[in-house]
Amino acid sequence: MNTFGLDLTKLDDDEDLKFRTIRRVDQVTIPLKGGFGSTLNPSVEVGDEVEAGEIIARDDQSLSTPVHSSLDGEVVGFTEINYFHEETLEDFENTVPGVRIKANPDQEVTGEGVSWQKEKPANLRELLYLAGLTSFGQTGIPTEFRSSYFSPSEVEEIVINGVRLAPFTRHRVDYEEEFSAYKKGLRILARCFPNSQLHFALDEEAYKSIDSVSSSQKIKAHSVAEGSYMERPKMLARELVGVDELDEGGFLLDHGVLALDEFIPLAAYRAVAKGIPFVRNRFSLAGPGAEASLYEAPVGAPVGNLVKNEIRDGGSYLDIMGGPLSGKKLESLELPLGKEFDSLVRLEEPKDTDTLAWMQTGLTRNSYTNAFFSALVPGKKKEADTGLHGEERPCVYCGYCSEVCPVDILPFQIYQTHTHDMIDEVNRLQPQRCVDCGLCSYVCPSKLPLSETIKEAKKSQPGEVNNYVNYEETEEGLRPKDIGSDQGRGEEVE
Amino acid sequence: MNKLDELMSDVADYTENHPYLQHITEVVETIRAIVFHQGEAASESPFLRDYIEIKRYMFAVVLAVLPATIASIYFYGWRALAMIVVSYVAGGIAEVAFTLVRKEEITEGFLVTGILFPLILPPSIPLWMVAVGIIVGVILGKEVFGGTGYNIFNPALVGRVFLTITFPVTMSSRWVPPLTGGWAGFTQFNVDTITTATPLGVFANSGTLAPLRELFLGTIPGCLGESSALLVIIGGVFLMLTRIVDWRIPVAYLGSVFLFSTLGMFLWPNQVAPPLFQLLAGGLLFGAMFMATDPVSSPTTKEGRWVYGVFLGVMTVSIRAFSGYPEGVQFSILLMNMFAPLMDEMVMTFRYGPVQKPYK
Repeated sequence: MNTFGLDLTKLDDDEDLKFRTIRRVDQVTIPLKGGFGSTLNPSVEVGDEVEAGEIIARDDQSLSTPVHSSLDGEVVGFTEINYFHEETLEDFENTVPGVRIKANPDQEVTGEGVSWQKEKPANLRELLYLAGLTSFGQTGIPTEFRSSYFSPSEVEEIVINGVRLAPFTRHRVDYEEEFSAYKKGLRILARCFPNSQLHFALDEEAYKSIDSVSSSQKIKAHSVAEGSYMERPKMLARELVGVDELDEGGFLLDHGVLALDEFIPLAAYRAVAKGIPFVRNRFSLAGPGAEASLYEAPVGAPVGNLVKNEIRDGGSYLDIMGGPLSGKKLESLELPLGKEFDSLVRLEEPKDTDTLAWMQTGLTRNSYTNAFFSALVPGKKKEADTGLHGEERPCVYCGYCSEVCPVDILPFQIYQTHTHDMIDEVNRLQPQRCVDCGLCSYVCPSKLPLSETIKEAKKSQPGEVNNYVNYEETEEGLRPKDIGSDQGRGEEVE
Repeated sequence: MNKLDELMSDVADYTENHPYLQHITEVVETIRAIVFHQGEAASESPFLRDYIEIKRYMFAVVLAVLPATIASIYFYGWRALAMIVVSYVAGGIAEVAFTLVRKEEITEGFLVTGILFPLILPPSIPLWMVAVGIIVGVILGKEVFGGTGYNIFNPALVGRVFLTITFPVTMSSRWVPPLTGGWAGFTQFNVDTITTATPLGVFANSGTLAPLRELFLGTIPGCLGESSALLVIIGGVFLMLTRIVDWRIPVAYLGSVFLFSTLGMFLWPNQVAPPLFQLLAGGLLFGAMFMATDPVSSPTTKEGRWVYGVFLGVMTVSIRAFSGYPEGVQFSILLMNMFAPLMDEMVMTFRYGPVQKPYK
């Protein structure tokens, strides 16, 4: 990633991925919620025999997407999984009930596809729902089955995010080998929402390896170069689609944008053209603490087992789900592979002692400033560990955070006004424009928690109410928590 | 952890629990952090962080003034180093005392103030005056506002202006010609006490201009750090290339001085000196590169910094030309420090609109 003068390209060594397919595991734990939607009640009991691809939990009346078994086997129990949700639902409990299934030897999932070119869009959407794909995207993929807050007619733009420019992020699709199937998946998605425009964005390097995407006007491919920040779905939507209203906050679908990750079209192809539901997920593994790999494994398989041969153990490492700049810390790798698990980054922890670090030449120390000798050798690989590299200090108003911000806000000012409870000042600075890229916290010399503070500040924004705090599970499923018309900010002045 | 670090850790643990020795813990921990730099890991995203930190930020500024500092010893003898030591010790005690009483961590801000302050003083003022100046600068210029990160004014300049106003005769009459030739100041502690006037003073009195070459290389009298324009420029360019200092402020400041003095030279030829002389004489280069660029007291937004630089230039030329003082840099910077928050507020209002208060 090279953006606004901040060069993160040499942290990663860009080794080629090894693709590893795991067909068989002994036991899986299927979370009863994967992505957007309510937690479901299982429709199976201990002792039931299930088949790979069989729906084991479904409720068309609640905001949810069906859950499938990923293997042939027998249900042996129920458990609680300590789990992370998508950003939108962060304030929910972190445990999710799961179904433990012990596998039988034969694992192949077969199904019957349809000729999707002739299917009606509503039928295609039903197939996506029955395949368990509709829980992806910030608020789910809209169908007639209440898989999302929104309805299918509200989808105006579909954005497929294949941009992988941040360090230690990798593609989940082999564009050279799988592109003909992938193209069909794009067309299936476009056909599901016939009045929408589909945008497929790839970083420049991957874009070079694909041939033309489609002759249809409804599908456009975009090549994204370094130099501007395009990793996050909201940023991609803002730039590709030109939706300035996104700056006002709210969900992406509030503005008609359905943003999906790059693997979904391939999964949609499998679901519709092959009749195979989403029971196998793919995630990439990268970082100094592991051999770069791309895994495809059954949903619910224990992640630690899947990666045990590729992770390095001689030292202290931190595992992150998601990217290194905007991901979540994993306390352990002993968790089942969920549907939304898309990448694992294993970074080194810093050494205990680093004598006179601030006086060292720093040939391999990356920095936005050029205050290290690494500025003289830009081509050299740089160190990447999780250290703060300094202590937290008061803000010195250097301005680096606002220089690297992709959406032109003033992180230092939001930090100062928010920590001093100046709510109206915070509101004026439009924190809802933030796309959670983490670059402000990255560059700060005073090691301030800028990105975290802006996330906090966003919660008090009227447009962002829906995005963060205020949903709760009720008998009818997810409902906005009633916080009154003043949106938690006090009484309106006449 | 290496042995020395372990030893200090044990000392800190002991003094923490001892009823009278708590403050020693703080000092020991600070030294440990500075020397051994315990590497804490990021506990929340992003999990990758830049290697720049405040210690290195300050260290880079000190490196940038080092050539000018060494030159000051060359020109004025080892007494210059004595002034620097007095500044660090006296100011350091004031800063540490305040920080300990407030129960905060000792921060690195003083590293830079401590060396910049003596470099803007005349070479032969008494050492006790250096101490008084830095203590006033640290206390009234920084600590009363809340410490590092909260000061409105540049602390070194507050100290200097205090000295200028309180001891006007000493501050304006202790200029001596710099030593040159051979090892010059490295062989002496003190300079001869033949006092002389600075080039700006000479111009203010008689309209004579010093030769540009002398101004550039430093063979003219002035404050400790401002003699050699060449070395100050080298230091300033280093800071701008490493992005430690925003290039907009020096460029705007110097550009504005150049333009305004060109204009002034025609309108008021007896009062406004020509542009190149203005740029090279006095503390302008030093002030533009090292004092005006202090990030806490200058505006933070890019547009604000341009406005700040332009106004600084106009003020400096005006004070030099039309007031009783031959040098205007110190006053202009302090005056513009006052306006820095307003400039940022104007930029924010322009970008985002005014602050609205719809709710109680």
